[in-house]
Amino acid sequence: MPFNKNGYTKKQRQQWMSVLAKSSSQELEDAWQGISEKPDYRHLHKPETGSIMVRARAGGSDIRFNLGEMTATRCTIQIIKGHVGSAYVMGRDHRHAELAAIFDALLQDPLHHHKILNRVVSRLKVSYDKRKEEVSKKSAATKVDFFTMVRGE
Amino acid sequence: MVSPIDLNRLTPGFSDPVQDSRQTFRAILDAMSHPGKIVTMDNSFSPPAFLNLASAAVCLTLLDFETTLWTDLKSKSKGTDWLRFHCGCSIVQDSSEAVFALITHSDTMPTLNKFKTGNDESPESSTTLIIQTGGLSSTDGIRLTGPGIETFSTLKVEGLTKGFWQDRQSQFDMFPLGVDIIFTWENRLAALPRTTKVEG
Repeated sequence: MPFNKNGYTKKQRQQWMSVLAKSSSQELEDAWQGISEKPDYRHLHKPETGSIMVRARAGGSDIRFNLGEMTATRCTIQIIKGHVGSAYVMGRDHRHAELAAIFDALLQDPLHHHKILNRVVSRLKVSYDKRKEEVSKKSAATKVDFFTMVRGE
Repeated sequence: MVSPIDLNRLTPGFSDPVQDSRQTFRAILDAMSHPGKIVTMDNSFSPPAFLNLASAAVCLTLLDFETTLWTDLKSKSKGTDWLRFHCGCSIVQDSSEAVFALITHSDTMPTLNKFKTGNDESPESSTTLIIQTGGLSSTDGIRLTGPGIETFSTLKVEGLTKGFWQDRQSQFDMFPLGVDIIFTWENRLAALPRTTKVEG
């Protein structure tokens, strides 16, 4: 695992990057404002919006096919004298991508890792889970079962 | 196997990618359509080690994920990481497969026949060479004639290999096949497209 020397695994990083990307821009902004000592940073890639091809497999096992294009924004920032963070987020919110990249960089830094993980990521995760549950409740209520009547011969 | 890019030692590219790449493209177009003319670029950013400002800007402007690049930089150097990150181009080991070639040390560069010269059906499918030189001036040097040049223009390129101009002549004899060349030095560039005749 290339990331183990910093005290976290690749899988852990994937998880926090996913939480940061799926949170709302406002939530990230609030969390950022809550940080007392904001680090200086510079852009390696300024936020840029483009489209990416989403690929899928039918039933999760078939051959991959192109599902369709979606709009995404990416950003890479470098904390001065610190780590490099990246973010790919859905949509065209530049500030969202930027903040997600900053938090990703801070999370890679052993000095900030625990603080950010406990104060920011865990809260975002709770709120994301809540939103997800609401959506699935809503869609569960509209569930339709299809069945075929067998004609008695 | 493609090695991961070491992000921690990267430096930023263009500060305003849209505007800077437009300006650079304009400069390349100007140089290409007036062979031998030395064009100065006014971008300001710090290119990575072994790259001068002009060749870094040309790479940022012309290379993307669809172009292949051959370079004499070491495969795990800051320079190649920078190019892969900012341009998204793939680096090829075989110079005859590359759409672009970046030569940072002009005195040890391979001969021109090591690059793609295109074929009769599509002569444009050739390599464009970006050669970093030890100096460019138009006061004396070789005499250039051909399309884009009213009478003749002169260009002096420092730091080329001994056989370079002879090599270029044998490429010229293959016209319309051949490679197009961009010479760079500091923040300046000059072009030598395949249509230009070099008269000693």
